[in-house]
Amino acid sequence: MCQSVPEGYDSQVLTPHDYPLWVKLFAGFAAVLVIASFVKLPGFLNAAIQLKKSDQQFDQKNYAESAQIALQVLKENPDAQKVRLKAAKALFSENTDDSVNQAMDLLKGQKLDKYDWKELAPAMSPSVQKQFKTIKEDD
Amino acid sequence: MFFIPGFLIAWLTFPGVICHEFAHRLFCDLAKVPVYKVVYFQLSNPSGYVIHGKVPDLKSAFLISVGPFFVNTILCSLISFSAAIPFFLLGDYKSTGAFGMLQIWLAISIGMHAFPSKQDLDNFLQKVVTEKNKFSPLSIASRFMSVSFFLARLASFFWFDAIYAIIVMMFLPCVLLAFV
Repeated sequence: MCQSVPEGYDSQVLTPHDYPLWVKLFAGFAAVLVIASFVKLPGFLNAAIQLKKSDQQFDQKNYAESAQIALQVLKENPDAQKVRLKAAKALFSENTDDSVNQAMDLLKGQKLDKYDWKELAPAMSPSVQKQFKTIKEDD
Repeated sequence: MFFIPGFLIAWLTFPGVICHEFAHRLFCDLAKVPVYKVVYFQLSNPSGYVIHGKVPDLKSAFLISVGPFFVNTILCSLISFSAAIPFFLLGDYKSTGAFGMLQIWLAISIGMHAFPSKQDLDNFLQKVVTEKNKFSPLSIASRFMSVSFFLARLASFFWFDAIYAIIVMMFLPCVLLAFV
C-alpha cells in the first residue's frame, strides 16, 4: 500500500535510497536465488527440450523414437511422473509385445489419477486396460 | 471456493509484501518524491505501507503505483525459472527438493503481491483522471493499466492473484521451449 502524506503529518523525510540492513540482505538473498535458478537451469531445460522432441515424434506417430527419448529423460529424472506417463503412452502406442511389457513395467506400482488414465487408456488395447485395477472410484 | 483471511495470506506470503513495499520506496526515490515512512512488513493490517509526499505528475504516479507490479512480476519469474520446469513441465515433485520448494514459495509469494492495493489504485486513478493530455502514450497506457488492475482486484476474490503468480512462473519456461 502506498499513500500520500496526510495533512499535518509531522515526520522527517527519509534519505533516498537508504534502506535498512535487513532489507538489503533480503534483496541480496533474492539475487542469490535468481543466480542459483539460472545455474540449475541447463539440466532441467535440456530435459524439457528432449521431452518436447519426444512429443513431436509422438505426434508424427514415431512411437518407438518418442518412447526412446522419453525413457532417456526418465533415466535422468526418475521421479518425473509426467515423463513416465509420456514414455508409457509412447510404448503402449508402439504396440509390440516388448513395448507393452516395458510400459507395464514403467507403471508397476504407480497410482494413476483420472486425468492420467484418460491420457493413457486410448493408447492401450482393451486386454491391457483390464490389467489395471481401480482402487477408488471418483465422485 | 475456499476463503482464507487476508492477514493470514499476508503472513504466509510476507516476502511478497516486503518486495512490493521495497519497490514502492525505490520508485518514490527514483521519481524524487519524498518518503516519510516505510513499513516493509507488519503483522497487523495493512501488512505494509509507504507514506510519501505529493506526486507531481502522471509519470511519477505511474512509476510509484505500477512499478511494484513489474518488479514483483519479473522477480517471480526469475526466481522460479529453474524450479518451474521440473515442477510444472516434468511433473517431478520429488527432485524439486527443498531448494526448489523455497524458490516456488518465494516466487508465488512475490507474484501474488504484484498487483497494486486498493489504495495504490485509488491514488493512481486520481492522477489518471486529472491528466490533461488524455491522448499521450503514457495516459493511454495508464488508463489501460488501471482498468486491468481494477479487474484483477475484482478477480482476486477467485484467487486470481495466486493464479497470476503461477502463470508468471510458467511463462518463461514455456516461451523458451516454444522457441527451441
